[in-house]
Amino acid sequence: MPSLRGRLFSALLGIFIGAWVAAGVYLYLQFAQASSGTMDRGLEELANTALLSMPSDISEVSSRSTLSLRSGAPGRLEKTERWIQVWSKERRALVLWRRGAPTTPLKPDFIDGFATLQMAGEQWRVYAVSDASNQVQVQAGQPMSALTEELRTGLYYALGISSLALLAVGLAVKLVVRWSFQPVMTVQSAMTSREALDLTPLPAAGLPSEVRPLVDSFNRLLARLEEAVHVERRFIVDAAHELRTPLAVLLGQAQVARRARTLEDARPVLDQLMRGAERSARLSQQLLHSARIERPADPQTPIELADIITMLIQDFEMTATQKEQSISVHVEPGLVRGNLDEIGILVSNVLDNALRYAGRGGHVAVRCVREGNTLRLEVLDDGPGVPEADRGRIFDRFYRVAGSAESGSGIGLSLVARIARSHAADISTGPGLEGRGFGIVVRFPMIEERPAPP
Amino acid sequence: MGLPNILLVEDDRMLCDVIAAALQQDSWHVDVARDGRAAQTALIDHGYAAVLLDLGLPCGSGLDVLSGMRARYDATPALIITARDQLGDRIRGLDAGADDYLVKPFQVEELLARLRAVLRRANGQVAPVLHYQNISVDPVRRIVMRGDQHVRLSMHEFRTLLALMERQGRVVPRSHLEDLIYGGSTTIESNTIAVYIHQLRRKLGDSLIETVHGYGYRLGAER
Repeated sequence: MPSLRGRLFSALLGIFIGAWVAAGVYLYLQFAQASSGTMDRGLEELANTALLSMPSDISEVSSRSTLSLRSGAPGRLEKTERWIQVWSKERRALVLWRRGAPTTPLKPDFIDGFATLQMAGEQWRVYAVSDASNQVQVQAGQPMSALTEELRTGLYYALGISSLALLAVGLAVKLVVRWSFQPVMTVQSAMTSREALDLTPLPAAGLPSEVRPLVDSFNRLLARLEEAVHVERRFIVDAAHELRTPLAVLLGQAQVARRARTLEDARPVLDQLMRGAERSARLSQQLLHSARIERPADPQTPIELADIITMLIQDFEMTATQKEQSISVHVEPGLVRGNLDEIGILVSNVLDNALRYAGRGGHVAVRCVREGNTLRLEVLDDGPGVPEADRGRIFDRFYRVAGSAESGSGIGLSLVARIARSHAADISTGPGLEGRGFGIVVRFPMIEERPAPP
Repeated sequence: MGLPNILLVEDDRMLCDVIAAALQQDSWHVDVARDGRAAQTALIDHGYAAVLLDLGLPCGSGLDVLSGMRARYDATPALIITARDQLGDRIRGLDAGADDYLVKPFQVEELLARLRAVLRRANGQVAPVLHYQNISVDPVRRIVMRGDQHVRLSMHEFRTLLALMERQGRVVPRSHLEDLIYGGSTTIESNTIAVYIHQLRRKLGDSLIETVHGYGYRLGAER
């Protein structure tokens, strides 16, 4: 994973090193040029001075009478040693030379001007100048090693100084980068060190403006998450309480049944026990449904609502028969787009609700009809109904109609409302069958028109 | 042969005991398999009247057992009993060849009623593939072909088509179809047969099924 800090540091350091190398090379070249210029000028001056300071008949002088410095005098071949020879041009004879200099011409071609030559395994810079009457030529030379030596010393000195500077700059860059990233590192360590469900906001004070929005949006997400976790915790607590009541009833009924003296005495309690168990089972199922629709829904597919109704209605047939209820189903084909499992939860909860509140001997009508470009699902019963004042609240979680004979959980219809909302379906309540009872109408947007059934 | 045999495939011992006891009260003989592999073994050459199948099993799921049965043309009626109540699971179970699907917890009477309905429907059901014009129906593997096209039908559409195919050329009364599909309910009264016929026409061709007004439906020319 690339680190922003590491990237910034290495990029800055790279730029510095590149600039340092480029500047170094440029300065070296400049210096080298300047130095060789100085050397050439020195040679030229020496040769010219020597030429001008000599008598005009110097070329006639015998080489034997040549003066020379005494041995041991200053001017031994040292680093900056320069040699000088005076040649008679006509005779090609060495007239005068500096002691220690070779007696062969430094510039064998005797052409005036500068040249760089190989001599005795060394590079030499040589200059030759002749007088105006072309009788005498003065040749001056200096080994190149003197120049490179000088250059090398300068170069080492510059390298040392600038390396120290570079090291200082690198250190400074590292410190500055670390200092700039300090707030980000603080946020990071705050995040990694916290507990799994610690949803308090991250510290946002003193953050640079580039990072602040990121942390702020994190904090908004954390706030929403905390709200959701809070709701879920409350739901779990409520649900556990809800389950506790029917379980207490079951336990009590089982104990009463055990104490009964005859089977006949026990039978009514056993019947109650069965109903209690059914109630707990339904509650656990609705909690399960509730948990399922909490998750982000799976992809939506086209669904034939009539198929779902006919498939699910059979689950209720047995209990309806036992309660001497009748169910009438009228469906028309029509496709809606939705999540299959959620639509199933919706349909089965609406049916369950109607059949429970219809009461013994009641009637429930299920209709699924096309209405314009919507598919209208209505489930109506002829039970005691719901007072007008309560209808608005029956879709709230854990809400129960006061004084109702049936012991519902108050979860079923809240699931219905939530699923309808997530499927863009419109939900409404109204009277049931024959002017009494209760009815729920869900209008789904229909997809794809089809010819009506024959 | 003696008493009709039921294979109960269920891994929960308590539930297993309760269901077995209820079936024995109803004078069935019950064999029990506690995992998928035992179920596969038990199903070879035993000729069970029906299989009660839990889905979540050790050593191979109930769906695997079911698919295996149908793949080797074992048409033994299968009733799934499971805690998985999601509609998607239910449809997958029926598509895999289950004859019915019951969600736990259920009443014992409900289980017995469904079992009887499944057996009644299976009774006299022919196993070979049925043909009419370019349509073929494989009752065991529950596959419907129109020409070389596979046609997807819902459980009820399939049962309606199968009932009409088995009675080619005869008018099948609506009430008789309802009886064949739902097992004769006095509690639920519905128009759903008309909807299935409509869907079958849409999927298999308009002229396939003829409506005999006020009476029922017929597939194929009158005999």
